[in-house]
Amino acid sequence: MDLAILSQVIVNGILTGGLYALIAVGLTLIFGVMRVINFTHGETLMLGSYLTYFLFTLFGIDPFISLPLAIFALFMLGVAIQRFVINPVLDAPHLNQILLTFGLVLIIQNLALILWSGNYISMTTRYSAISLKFGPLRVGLTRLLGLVIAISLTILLTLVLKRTEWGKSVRAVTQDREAAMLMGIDVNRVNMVAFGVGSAMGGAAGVVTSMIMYVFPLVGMMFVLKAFAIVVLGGFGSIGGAVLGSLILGLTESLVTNYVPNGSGWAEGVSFIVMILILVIRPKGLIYVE
Amino acid sequence: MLSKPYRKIFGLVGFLALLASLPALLGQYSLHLMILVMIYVVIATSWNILVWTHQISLGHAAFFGIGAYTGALIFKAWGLTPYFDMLMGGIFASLSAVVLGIICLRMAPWALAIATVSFAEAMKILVINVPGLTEGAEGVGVLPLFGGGEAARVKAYYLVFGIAFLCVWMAYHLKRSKLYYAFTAIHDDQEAASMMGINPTKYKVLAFTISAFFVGVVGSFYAHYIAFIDPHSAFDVHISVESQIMPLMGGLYTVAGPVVGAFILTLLGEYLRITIKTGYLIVYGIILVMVIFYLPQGLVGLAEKSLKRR
Repeated sequence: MDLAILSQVIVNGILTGGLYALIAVGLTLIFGVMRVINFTHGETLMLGSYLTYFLFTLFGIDPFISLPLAIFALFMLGVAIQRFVINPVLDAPHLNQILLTFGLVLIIQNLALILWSGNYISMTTRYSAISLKFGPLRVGLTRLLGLVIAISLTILLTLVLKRTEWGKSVRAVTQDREAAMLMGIDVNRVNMVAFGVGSAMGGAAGVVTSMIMYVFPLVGMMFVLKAFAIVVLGGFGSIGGAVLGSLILGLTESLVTNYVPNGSGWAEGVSFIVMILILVIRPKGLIYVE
Repeated sequence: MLSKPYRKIFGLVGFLALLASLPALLGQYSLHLMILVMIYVVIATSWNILVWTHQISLGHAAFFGIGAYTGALIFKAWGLTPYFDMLMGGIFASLSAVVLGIICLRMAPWALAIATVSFAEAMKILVINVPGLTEGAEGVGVLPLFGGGEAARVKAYYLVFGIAFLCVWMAYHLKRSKLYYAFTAIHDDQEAASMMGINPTKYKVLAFTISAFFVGVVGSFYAHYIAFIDPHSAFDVHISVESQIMPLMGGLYTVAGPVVGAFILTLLGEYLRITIKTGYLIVYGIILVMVIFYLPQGLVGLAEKSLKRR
């Protein structure tokens, strides 16, 4: 086995894993606080990527300037979705919640399809083609920057959850919603802000995907299924578990693509197979928080 | 004036007689639509049975696709009668449901929902990537059911009508059996149910198996009727979506609900697909959201309420 190729494969896996983590961490936060399966998470990614694309092609705004804009816009959208759509059904059966977010996905996705057609589009920035060399390794600049964005936002979120008052309330609600309510925590507000922050992370992921791949209406669906697989195997609501799960998935996909015959076809299914395997061994996920 | 149960029976017989006389009344295209309606009656009814145990499947396309491929591949290998293929389609779908059920047993409902949708995707990828067995993304051709043509379509309609009738009839009797109480008991409170001597594991897997069987049968029927099957149409996410929306719109937990939902949404979907073309599913999304907010009991629930008020 060629070591140079192997290390390239591992680097690619980590880069992909970083992107997955950015998507899965936001989803984990929402799931942890509200116990709601939020299919719209993929659509925040899709909207973030279209926002970046249009700002760039229409006004020449660099994706890195779009990043805070996308974060803000998707935060507001997330808060609105939580306030007007999710909140009324928080105590309804799971089935209703799942189908409701699924209905929202159909609306957002098909609106995008009607407005922007189903074509794959992509943008080329000045630095899109730049590739950095580290010894035998080659890393695309946009992919590396994407990883940097993912790591910084995840660390930022972890710090906010650990250090701030709001973060404490989020952790309290994640552990026990009723007890948190009795302690005088404004659970509604925690829910709303958590949904906003989670959606903003999704939007940020959209900025990253718009730089490194195509933009199209179904891009969110493609990622949200993987992100859910990661949330399940990471232990439902544990941010550390989500990051670990993302890296495992990114690495496995990269290894399968390169070392299994016809690997790129199989790689798409890796997340589902890995998820099922891990759940057979550890039904409560890799890292279980009571 | 007839008494109430008689009115119900007469209404039902009239409805069935109407359905049975449709081939004489409808053109070929309309009859094709009615065949699709019957397929969806089966899928929606089967999905609803699983919901009785409060297990949510977002991946019923998996059972449809497994049935379709089992039917097509067995036909290609042995060329026996399509009825045998349909039976095998149902059996294989049920077997896969047992395996999935056992894997997912200890999961919470939300995790199960994700696992089922993943299962459908994984099956699609499996079928695409073992072309030696399944001919991969190319798809499998099958000889047309009953030799093809107009007369064959009429026969196909009666066949799928029969399957749909059996499926709904089974659901109706299941709803009045002891099994239904076991199903809803584990839905309401698993621990209490197991203390009453109901083994939740057994009944959960059983519900999965029953739910998958008829979906596999119509999957196999579909492959024979269309005379072709490929991974993307066999494991279409659309099937999984319809299987949830139809019972929800008609009325969850009822027997009539999925049937009503399948009729309305199959015909509405076809109309929208022709008139709006791109993005017609947006209407489905709006219906879904509206129903959950304003009509959680579905149309059947609404009808019952207004009847009681009178």
